[in-house]
Amino acid sequence: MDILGPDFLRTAFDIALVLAAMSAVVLGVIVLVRLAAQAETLRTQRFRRRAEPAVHAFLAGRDNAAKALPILQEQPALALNLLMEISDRLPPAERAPLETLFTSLPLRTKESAALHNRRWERRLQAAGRLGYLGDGVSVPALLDALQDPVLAVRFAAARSLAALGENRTIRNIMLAFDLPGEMNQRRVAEVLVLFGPSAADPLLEILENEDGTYSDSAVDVAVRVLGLLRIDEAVEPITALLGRSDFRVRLNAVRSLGLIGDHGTAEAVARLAGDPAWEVRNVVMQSLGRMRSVKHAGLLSDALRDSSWWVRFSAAQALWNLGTEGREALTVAMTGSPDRFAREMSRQILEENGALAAREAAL
Amino acid sequence: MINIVHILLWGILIYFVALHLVYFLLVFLGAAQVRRYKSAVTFAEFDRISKSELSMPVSVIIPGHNEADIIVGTVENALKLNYPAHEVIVVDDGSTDDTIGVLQRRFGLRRVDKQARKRIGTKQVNAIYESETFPNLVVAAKENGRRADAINAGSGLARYPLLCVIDADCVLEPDGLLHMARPFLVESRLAASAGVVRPSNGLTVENGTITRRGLPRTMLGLNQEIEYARSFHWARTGLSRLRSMLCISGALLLVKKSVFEAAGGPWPQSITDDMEFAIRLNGHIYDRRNGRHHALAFTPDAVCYTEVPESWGQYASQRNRWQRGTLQSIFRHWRMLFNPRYGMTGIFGLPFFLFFEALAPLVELLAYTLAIVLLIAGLATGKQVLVLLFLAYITGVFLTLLAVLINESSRWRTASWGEFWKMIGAIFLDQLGFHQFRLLCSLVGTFQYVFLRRRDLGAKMERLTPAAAVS
Repeated sequence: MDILGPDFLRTAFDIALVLAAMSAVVLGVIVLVRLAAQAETLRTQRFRRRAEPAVHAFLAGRDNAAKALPILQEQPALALNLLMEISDRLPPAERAPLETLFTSLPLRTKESAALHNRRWERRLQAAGRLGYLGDGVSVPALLDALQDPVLAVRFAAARSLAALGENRTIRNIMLAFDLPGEMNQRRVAEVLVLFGPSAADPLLEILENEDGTYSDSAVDVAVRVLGLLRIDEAVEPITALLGRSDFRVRLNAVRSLGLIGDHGTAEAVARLAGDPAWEVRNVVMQSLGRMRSVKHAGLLSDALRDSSWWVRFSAAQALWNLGTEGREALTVAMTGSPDRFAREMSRQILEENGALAAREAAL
Repeated sequence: MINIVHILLWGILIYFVALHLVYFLLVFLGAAQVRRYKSAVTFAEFDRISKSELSMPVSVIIPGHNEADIIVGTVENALKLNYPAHEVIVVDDGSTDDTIGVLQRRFGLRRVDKQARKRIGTKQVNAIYESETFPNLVVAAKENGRRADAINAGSGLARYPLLCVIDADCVLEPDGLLHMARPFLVESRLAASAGVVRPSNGLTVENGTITRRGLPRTMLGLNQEIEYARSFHWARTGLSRLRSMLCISGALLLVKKSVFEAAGGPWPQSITDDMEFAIRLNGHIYDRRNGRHHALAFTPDAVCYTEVPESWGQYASQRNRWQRGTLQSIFRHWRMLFNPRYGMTGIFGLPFFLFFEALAPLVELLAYTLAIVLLIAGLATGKQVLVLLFLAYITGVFLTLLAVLINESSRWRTASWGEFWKMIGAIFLDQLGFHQFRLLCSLVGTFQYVFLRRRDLGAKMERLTPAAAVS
């Protein structure tokens, strides 16, 4: 081994010893980490054993807040986590009494300040917590957080604004999340749905605004949310969008009309059955099915021959949803359609719904 | 002669140092990544995903061949996953046992005349069944064509935009799918997300629900527990940071269907289809010509349990197959090696796999041989060789302890102190025989791949602990 140099072996041995010592240190650290985690778990469990019944007693009206508050204020950080957990478990309408407990925790100023922390993870945490802790005072800080360079922080801030019911901020949210891409639009829509029906007016304003302040992407989101919230007043402005050149706008408009389920719009929706984009045709079929538009059974039967598998599938499902007339149309298509794809799809949907003879089911 | 020995010694030394420097880099990156993930994730977020009607629906594909003993438990587990919209597609890949029969009896299957999309060619699908009691369960019976072919057939039946592929012996944590799907909501460019795999030996599952998470009882099983921890808690986490996660376990993968189809699905002739597909997926995603619109993520808290062999024969067969599969996958995509068109994947990822994974057994064999030659020739003493062996041993121990530290600093620590100390003990024993046995299996695999052109999948693993099947 001397050919590797006179000191090589000595150096190798020294390195090995250093690594052995470091291994021992790492092992020690692992044990300490475990012990610390165990102690933390015990501390949390002890606190929860005392605090949880007090909070539930307050919510049930058996005790007043004065009994729960001293316990919660002993460990504000743990109390916040507990209250957030309880709040998430409750239906939104029953969360109001918790506000007294949240606002009593001396954390709001700290969390507002944390929105400027240099670590984005901390900013994210703070933005989420302010949705529970905050009131009108936190709104400006959360509006600032909508400009955060990290998207996740912006979303957390928007969710908190929604939790606080600040529907005046919807315009800011729409401008802060003018992002392309299906996934981003879903996420913004999800936040706006949290506002509930109170989001309708600002969103309708966006649809009526023609000065270009809002992009097609923002209009898409507004249409989507109005559909998810089943806002009847949105039918007219959404129907007006069916002629837009951007296929995504048409797609979301048709989808939302389907969700709202207004029979009066079925004719306008059906006019897009020949849309060049298969995604739009697909949603047209789904919407007609949701609206139970029996008078469009013929159109749905024709769509069983569409070039897109998804359109055929949605048309067949829509026919099934129409009831007797639709099921008869499916049977006719299965046995008599000149198109093989129409026959196969009709058969598939009838089978999936258990409508075919027991002979095949037994196979 | 002395000059050759001199060059070889220095070569091995440089290799050893380079390998461990890369490992330390991966540990560092892995720890940073896990820390970042841990601080960014809140449990409320998963709650939101589980309740949202806008969460992207997932098709869970379970390919299986002769899995009658365990398939019911796996399907029950998949059906019970906490996710707002998912379907389970079981693809029976030409089983000769009663796989379809047991599924039929348990889930009330009836045959339907369903049409599958055929974006990727597969062997003939003979029958499709649906359940009367579970509307989101589909079972397909097809001609035998290996696991990859079954996955491709399952993708044709999938209705949803995300595909989750799991093995027939896998048990997922109830929130596993939520954790896997979360990155898709955070990063819209994401094409695939991979999770952590741990041995299911020692796990207790009742009616598809995990009731106890224990460690394997045998030393061999325990050894694989730490091997998996090392592999997943820093190697893959670190590699994902470097856009070089070329080994995604087939036991747990969530991928966008559009990307899956664009990449062509797994290759049915591959020895290890998961690795081959992972390399191809990376190539597809990071190829400059495709615009690099997508990304890959590793989700350190999405856990799936899979059975590991506890008999030496099956262990040897598995490692032999993995080595042959690694070589086949790398050679099939040799054009990506050092190719800047694929970014870090071509410059670092694939060369790392070639030199530090596929060729490592050969270098190690050379080192052991050289040590013996030097001892016989009197150029080295036993004490000197022992010092070097000790250095290699303690470096391995140190790196594995760091993996455990990452594990214990996270939420996914071992359950009891007893199990913890068992795992620590296994770390110190890993290099004392287990590692050398793996080396031997890899060498045999390399020899069979290169000289005997062996391309088969080896013996099928016998299920010792059908964890998922316990009811």
